[in-house]
Amino acid sequence: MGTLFFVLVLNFFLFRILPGDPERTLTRLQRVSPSTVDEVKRELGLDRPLPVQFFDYLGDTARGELGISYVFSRPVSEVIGNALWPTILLVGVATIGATVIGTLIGIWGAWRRGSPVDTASLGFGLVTYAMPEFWLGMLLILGFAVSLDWFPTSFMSTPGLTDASAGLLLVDTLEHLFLPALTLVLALLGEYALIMRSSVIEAMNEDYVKTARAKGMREALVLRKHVVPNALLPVVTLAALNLGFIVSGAITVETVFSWPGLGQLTFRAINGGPDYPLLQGLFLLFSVVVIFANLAADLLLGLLDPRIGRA
Amino acid sequence: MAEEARAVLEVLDLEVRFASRRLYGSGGEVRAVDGVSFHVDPGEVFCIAGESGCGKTTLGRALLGLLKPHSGKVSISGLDPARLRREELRKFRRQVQVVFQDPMGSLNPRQSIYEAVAEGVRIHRLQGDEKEIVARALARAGLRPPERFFLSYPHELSGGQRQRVVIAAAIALEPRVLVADEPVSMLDASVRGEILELLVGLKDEIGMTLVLITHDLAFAWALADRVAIMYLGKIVELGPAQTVLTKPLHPYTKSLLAVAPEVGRRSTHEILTGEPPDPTHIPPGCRFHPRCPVLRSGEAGSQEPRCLGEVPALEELAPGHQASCHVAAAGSIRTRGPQAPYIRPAAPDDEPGP
Repeated sequence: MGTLFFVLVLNFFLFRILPGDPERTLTRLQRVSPSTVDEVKRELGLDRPLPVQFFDYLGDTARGELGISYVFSRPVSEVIGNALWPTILLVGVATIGATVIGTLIGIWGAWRRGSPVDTASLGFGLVTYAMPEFWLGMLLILGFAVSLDWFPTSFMSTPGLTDASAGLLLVDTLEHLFLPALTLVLALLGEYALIMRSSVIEAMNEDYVKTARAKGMREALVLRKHVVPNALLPVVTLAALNLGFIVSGAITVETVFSWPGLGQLTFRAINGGPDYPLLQGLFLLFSVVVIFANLAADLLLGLLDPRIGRA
Repeated sequence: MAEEARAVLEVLDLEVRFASRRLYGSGGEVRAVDGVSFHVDPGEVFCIAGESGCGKTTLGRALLGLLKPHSGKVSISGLDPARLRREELRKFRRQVQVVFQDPMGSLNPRQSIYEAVAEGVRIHRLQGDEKEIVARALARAGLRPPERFFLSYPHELSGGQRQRVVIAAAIALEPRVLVADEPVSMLDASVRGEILELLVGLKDEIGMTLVLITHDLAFAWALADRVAIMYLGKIVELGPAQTVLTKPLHPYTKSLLAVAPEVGRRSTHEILTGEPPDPTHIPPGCRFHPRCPVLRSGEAGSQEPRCLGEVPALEELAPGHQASCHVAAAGSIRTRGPQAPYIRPAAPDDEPGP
């Protein structure tokens, strides 16, 4: 709770330090007199002293009211709600994909340590990990969408495809999902592979693994029963902790692919304003996600690791 | 231990090598175990002792068939783990079990005590009721009542209890040979004696042979029937524990005994000096010569060129007592061993003496 309050305070002041005035940005495309700008400012309530604005904001948030977005002129909760599912879909698929593939690469690399496959997958993972996501996304667009024309370049669905059958809509969504998800998977993969690899190598040196071998256990079974379950613990933590960062990290990917999710929304909220209520709402949501991801990681570890579970 | 009794464990000219990795290039090779031969009789407590890095742990792992020797052979009840097919290897594994140093590390933290002990029982599909076998093994290892420990996890037990679980898991298979690699060095001094007593007791109860790997000569003195002293991958002295520890022939053994603490006795003996052994650069001739106090003091006399240039063989210099030292073999070394043992047993008084 303390954390959340701190986030609330930070959210308020952080965005007000941002350069730019909402009233000017909102009116920049129209020929307006200075008095109209002042009027807009008054309407938005930005003419009042900062402390008053602050306590209003605190009270509203406590009541669950996040305000009206400047850019969209609709309630923040509604704007965020619309963008929530696309992001959950994208980030969910990417996280699951990256965790599963990364973990498998890590296990395999550790098991066949030093082999060409290990070296190659490790190098590949490191390179994609180090690449900026937006650049990787652009490369993928160039390759798979522009040159090969296998996948659409942007959006979540083909415009105008509204009354098609459910099956067709699903295929259409998956086609649009593929490239942005692939970008995120590639960007996240290396970290999981690296952590899992070192974690497995460490676990393989444990005495209980040697003991299991000395008991005559088959190697595949040793890996499955003793090595992997213990090596998995740090990856679980990492995956949960990463969740919050992935949501915000999807900003660049969603922008590149015009994916109508929270990332793109954040981008537009900063550009078109700054849209204080929307930004405050978004970052409140991100913080809540991070806090709950932490909690989930702790609970999950408690289930997986008897040393933590039975306190 | 009659001479005719067939050895339960035989090691012949065993050599284990590791590739040593350097930052640049492939580096050299480390001969962790370099031509070791010995045999252990049924029911014996055989102790392998030496400084850390002398290859005693590697030797132990080779006995277990956990690593492939470069050459030579290990044979336990006539079976060589390096030459066995999968099914036979499983049978071999049942006969040789291991207890490692760190009882926390040798138990999977996510496995309950019951699972840990039952694992081997399942792998080898032992006859009889699994629960009964597990309970009996735990009880034999001194965890009573055994049912109380079934659902516990390793972190809930003390170090001594954990080591008892490890021992229970090993003896559940009723092995012929138990290799114990520093089984008590991570434990509190107060429980060391109990665990060692347990091991020796179980040895008699089950009719096992105990191979005890240790750096601590006090344990060798307290428990072992015979002792092998290792230096840089080779056995330099081998014989009955009492003889080796009271009338050592090899200067290395003497130095080891000289540094073993004993109240009320000031060491007048050669303390080891010089560089600690580096297994990537094994000295020519006798591998102990750069640190040998006999050589340094000039007592080696006419043997000196041989010490520097000729690898000494492990020869029987007294009945059942072998050493690899040119000077000792030539008999030119003065008998200067003290009459009393150099060290006191650290174990409780009721320990069976050698």
